[in-house]
Amino acid sequence: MQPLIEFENVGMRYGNGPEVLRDLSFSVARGSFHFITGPSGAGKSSLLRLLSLIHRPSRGLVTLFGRDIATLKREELPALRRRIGVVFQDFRLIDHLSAVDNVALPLRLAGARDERVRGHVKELLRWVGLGDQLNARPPTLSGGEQQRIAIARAVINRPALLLADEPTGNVDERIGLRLMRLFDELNKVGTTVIVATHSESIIRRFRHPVLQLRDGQLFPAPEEVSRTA
Amino acid sequence: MIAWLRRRIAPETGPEVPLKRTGADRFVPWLIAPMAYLATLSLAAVMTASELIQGWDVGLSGSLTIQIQAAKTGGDEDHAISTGEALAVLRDWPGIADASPIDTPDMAELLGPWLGDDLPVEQLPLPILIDVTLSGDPPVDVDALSAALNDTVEGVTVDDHGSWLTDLKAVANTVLLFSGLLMALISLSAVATVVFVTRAGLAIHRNVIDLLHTIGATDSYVARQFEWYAFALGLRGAVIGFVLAVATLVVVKQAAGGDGGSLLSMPGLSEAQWASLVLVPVAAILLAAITARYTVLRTLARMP
Repeated sequence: MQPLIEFENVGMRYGNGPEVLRDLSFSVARGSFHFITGPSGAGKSSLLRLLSLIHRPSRGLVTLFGRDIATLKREELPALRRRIGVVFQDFRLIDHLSAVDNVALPLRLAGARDERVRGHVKELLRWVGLGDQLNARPPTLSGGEQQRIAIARAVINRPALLLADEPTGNVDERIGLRLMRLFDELNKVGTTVIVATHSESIIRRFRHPVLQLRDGQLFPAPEEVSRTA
Repeated sequence: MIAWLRRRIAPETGPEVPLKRTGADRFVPWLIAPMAYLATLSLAAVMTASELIQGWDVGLSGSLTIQIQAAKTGGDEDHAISTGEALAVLRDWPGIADASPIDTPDMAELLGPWLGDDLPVEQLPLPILIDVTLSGDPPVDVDALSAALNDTVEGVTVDDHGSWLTDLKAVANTVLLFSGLLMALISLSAVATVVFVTRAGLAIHRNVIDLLHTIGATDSYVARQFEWYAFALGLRGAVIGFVLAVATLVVVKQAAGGDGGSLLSMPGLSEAQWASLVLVPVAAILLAAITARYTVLRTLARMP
């Protein structure tokens, strides 16, 4: 079966700056679960930007869902992006919308009916422990609560690919484990999950393959990454 | 009302881009209002000028005025003889449907706006005026008619109103041209204002728009939010400008004397023309909404 993600000699730079990702070659099978780890500035967030179709590679070939993302037309992007759930490190919630409306956003964009949307969203928010904060605006919530809303928004439409940048960085260990179990559950029903994290305890506990980045390159060498994957 | 319209017409339009909270756009209705005001007045001017030209054409192109100079006539008896001789020529002339002298009360009414209502017209050395209605078939040779009349009665002039009608039409056409030009400039200014405000909104809310794109929003989804916001701003401004313009027109109509009895009287707008003035705010609102949409789509298309 064709991998969900394939990188061949991929490089990426912002504008005319230096390459922040260099010579990345790896593949991710459908339905797999990977961690991306590495020190700050290693390129974890840049790699997730490529995978979430926010950026395009400066060189090399990135294939996602069987499509070369460098040749995608602008009007083809929304449909592909709706198959990807993203948890941003800085949450990126919309401040003037309630928790329910923030989480409902991907469903609304997909054209789901309003009454169905609210039922699903409330259920998920209760599950992540925010049942009593349904109508709260993000600025009134703690960092951990905002992170849980961001995660709920990323998973509400059961994406084929879930990308999470430090999803447990602002929550206590108990909530962090609960969220990771949610990712695991989604993975078991077919969602491909990639989590960028610094947390060695999480990586040890969940025992999924690790892509280690250092200075924009995969470390160890790509062959070893494939073997561990 | 705008929220109700939005739910009815475009229920899928989201509230994610917080355009109302920007604050900088609050001045926009106050920019659109004077534009709508001037555009409404311009349209009224265009319609009035067109009406004037048409009225002059219909009223004067099928008529002649015969003038027999006062100095060439003597007392009432001579007046009557000259008038009778001229009328005899006119009534036998091919292409003339009717010829009738303007009597003293009518003359007093004609001169009233200039010289006052208490004028003793009968004591003034006024020329004899004969109002001639043309049938149109055959066309009247004005020079030949003038020569024939002068052979019969001395000092006759035939006025087909051509020269001053041409001048008045030129003035009215200039008014039409400038009104059209003014409306075009107003439209351009409105478009420029909306483009500026929309671009500012795109820059201010770049983060939210990026997020919407990442989650899978189409450019059209984002554009719809700006479109509705411009619609709402345009509606407010256009209604204010339109109401003020209608009030101005009513005041001008009252001041100019809408009954046609004064020197400054102008043709009033018909009910259909009053109704057609509503086209100005409608056009302003649509122009604002379409401009905003087009601006957003063009700007987003340049994004990666």
